[in-house]
Amino acid sequence: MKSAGCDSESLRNIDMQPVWHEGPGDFEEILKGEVLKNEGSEEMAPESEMKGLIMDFMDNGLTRRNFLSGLSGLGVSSIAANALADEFTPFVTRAGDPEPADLPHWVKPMTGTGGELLVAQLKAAGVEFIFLNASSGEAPVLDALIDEPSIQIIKAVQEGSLLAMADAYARATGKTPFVMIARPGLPNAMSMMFNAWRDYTPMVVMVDDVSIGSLGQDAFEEMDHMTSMTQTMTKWHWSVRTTEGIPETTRRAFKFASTRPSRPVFIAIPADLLANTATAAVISQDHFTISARIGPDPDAVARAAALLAGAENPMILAGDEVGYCQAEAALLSFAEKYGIPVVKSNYVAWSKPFPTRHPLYLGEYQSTDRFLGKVDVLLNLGSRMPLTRGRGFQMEAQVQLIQVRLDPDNLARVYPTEVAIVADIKRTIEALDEEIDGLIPSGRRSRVAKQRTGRVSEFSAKRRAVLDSIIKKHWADSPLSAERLMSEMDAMLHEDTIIVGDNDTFMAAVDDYFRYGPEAKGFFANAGFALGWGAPAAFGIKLANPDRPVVALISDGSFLFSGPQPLWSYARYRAPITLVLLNNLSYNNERNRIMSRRGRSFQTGRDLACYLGDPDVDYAMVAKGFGVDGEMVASAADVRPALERSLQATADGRSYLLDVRVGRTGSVATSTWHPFYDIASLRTRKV
Amino acid sequence: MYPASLLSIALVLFCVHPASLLAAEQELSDEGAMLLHTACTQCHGLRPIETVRNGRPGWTQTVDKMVVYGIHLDVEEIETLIDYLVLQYGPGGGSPMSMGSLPPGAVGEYSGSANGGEILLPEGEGQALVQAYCSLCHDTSRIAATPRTTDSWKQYTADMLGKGGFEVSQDQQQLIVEYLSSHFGSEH
Repeated sequence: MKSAGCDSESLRNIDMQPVWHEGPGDFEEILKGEVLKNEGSEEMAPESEMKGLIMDFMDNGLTRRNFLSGLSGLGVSSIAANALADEFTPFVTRAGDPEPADLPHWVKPMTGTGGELLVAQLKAAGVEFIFLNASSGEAPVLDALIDEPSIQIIKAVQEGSLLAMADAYARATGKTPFVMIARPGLPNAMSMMFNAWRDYTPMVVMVDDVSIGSLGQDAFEEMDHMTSMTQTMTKWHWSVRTTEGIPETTRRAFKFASTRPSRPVFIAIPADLLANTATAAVISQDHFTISARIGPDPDAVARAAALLAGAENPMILAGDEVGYCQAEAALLSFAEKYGIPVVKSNYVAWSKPFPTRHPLYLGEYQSTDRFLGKVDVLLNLGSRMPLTRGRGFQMEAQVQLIQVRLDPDNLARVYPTEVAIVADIKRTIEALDEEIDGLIPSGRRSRVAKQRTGRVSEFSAKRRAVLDSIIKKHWADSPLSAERLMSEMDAMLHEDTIIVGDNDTFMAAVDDYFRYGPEAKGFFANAGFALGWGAPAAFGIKLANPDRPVVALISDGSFLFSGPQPLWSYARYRAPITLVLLNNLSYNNERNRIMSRRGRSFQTGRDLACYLGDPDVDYAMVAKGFGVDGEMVASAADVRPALERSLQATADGRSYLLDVRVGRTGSVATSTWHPFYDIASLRTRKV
Repeated sequence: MYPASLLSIALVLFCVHPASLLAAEQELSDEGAMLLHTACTQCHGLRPIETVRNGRPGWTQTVDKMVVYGIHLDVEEIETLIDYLVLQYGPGGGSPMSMGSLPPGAVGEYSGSANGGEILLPEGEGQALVQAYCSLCHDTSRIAATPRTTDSWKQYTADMLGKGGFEVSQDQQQLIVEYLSSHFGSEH
């Protein structure tokens, strides 16, 4: 309720008469000092006490709760008390608040709706894009964005896709994206929040909650304890309590999300708080940003360096934290200087932190390396452990493990570790280098490095020759082999293309048959392995890198998980992306794993769950329905012309989808059998 | 590739062969076993290998896929391993595993024991071909276990004969498909 002619001065000078209310009181009458008797009582509230309460609330930092409590104690009804509090709130001056002229330039007091305060704080956090699929409760935010051209809205029509877009954008830029969705969309979003959590991706996800007064009433679209629904996949989750608290909570959310090890954060803002007006400080996020470039413990470095210096057969396991710490160049230099081979695991890593055609790169980690002999010291730089492939779970008994991680939770979680270091990867590599340098005479170091490098290079060259021979063997396969497709793509795509991978069956081929590295192709995937990430993620990567070609390599299974919804955003925002759908009508590796148990499924040759044909989806047609051109690639001979058309399309600023039919491989691969169930035949009338 | 006539000859030769062949086989066996037990068990045990049968094309496809996945083998070792796998787990190496009871919807009945591996194939043109080729790698109950469409039997036949490395004429292949479709067929 707003009173005509009401301002802070007049409110402070009001000559209050004691007031009691019989029901929903008239605020105007209160101001005029009309006395209303509370039914059944003849007592009057002292005027001085009333005025004192108001002064304390407006000038002396009395909280709203205590103000309401004080009014209640004076006999004022709850409804009247809340109305008074709402009326006075815009004029509240925090005790000790400096005058505007005394504030540093990065602090800006502001009065506005909760939506306006939120947008202002997002701008102060450097947010350029809001990833949203908003609900009506977020209307005050949309209203605020009307007049804020510096923030671009990126809309998706399914919350999981939206989150994957934001996730990929974060991986590509290192920035913390802001995602705004409707509260019933939260479960959808959590399908991809899982990947962001697993891969330490920062983001702030916000929903509009039910209004404060309705919380806990089983209100429309309400979920009890909604914030704790995200508990297992967020670093912090919070529900905002006041409109003026919105900027502070937002700053805190960004701080938690971005501080390494970074991870998603969830906040809920009741819809009425977004609509209400308040005054609060909007502060530059820079003053809440924590540098986590922590240096390693010198004693631990000394122990690790001694192990590495004395190792006969050391190896480096390189993980995604190498990229987080921008340590790629340091890793390369370190590996070359000491002649230490580098491996990684496709199934726990989403990036390629070491150039994959380098002579020291050996590919997938093997627990027993046949050519180099038994590894005696393994240096894990930033990789999650355990590794997920078979015997990779087990460390060979002789391996002395050194682990350097940003995440202390995963560090030394499973394997006995000789030296465990929580620190920035780049700083640790530099410290190790300096320490080892002091332990080994340079002549000996060079000699050993040369010997090791020669041995490893000889093997990696042989391995490359084997991989090339496999392409030749399967060059003319029908259906098309993945090896042929990828080698054709590697030859035809621009050198600096970014590949976005989201599939299970073909990840190894994607690793082997493209050239990755700082002067070659880029790569993004996710190690959460909740499929359905790739199509929307390609959008996020392109948003972050408009000047680099982006090609998504996703399986038909992955595309069916995300659905075609990401294509809506491709078309809406004119995002030139090539989407290559590796279509073998199957969850191929899933089927292989099921059959490898050699249970009844294998014995009978019955694939209950993995065959995806019937219907055989025409993905090019689906794409056209969403405004994205595309075609089916049915044979090896069609690959090059189709790729040329896709390159032309993206050069013209359009997306293009290639539905590439590739072969199924492995156990019971040929089978198209699936359990047949015909609902139409159950009918007793034709409806 | 394995024409049926040559298989018969190989069987005869197997019974009477010179010491040099035995020695070569032993060397292959030793080296192949070493490769199997080191390279092939990096990510999984031996059961997925021991419980299938393949000819050279089939094992080549499998080993190539594993190399792409990351196992460390050079070109010569790949060929040695494939040779070993064909020797140990090739056609004619016996049925790798018994299916147990026929599942619901299967066609045919077991001969002999209730849960044996063989069913009596129905008489008809193509029966002998199916008996001769298909049972080199698995028992006949596997054929009966899951009725399939004609298209599916066509793909299956081509795939099995191809992986097995069998030389079969187009006419014979067609006859096999027709036999399987008519006796173990399904509309879906």
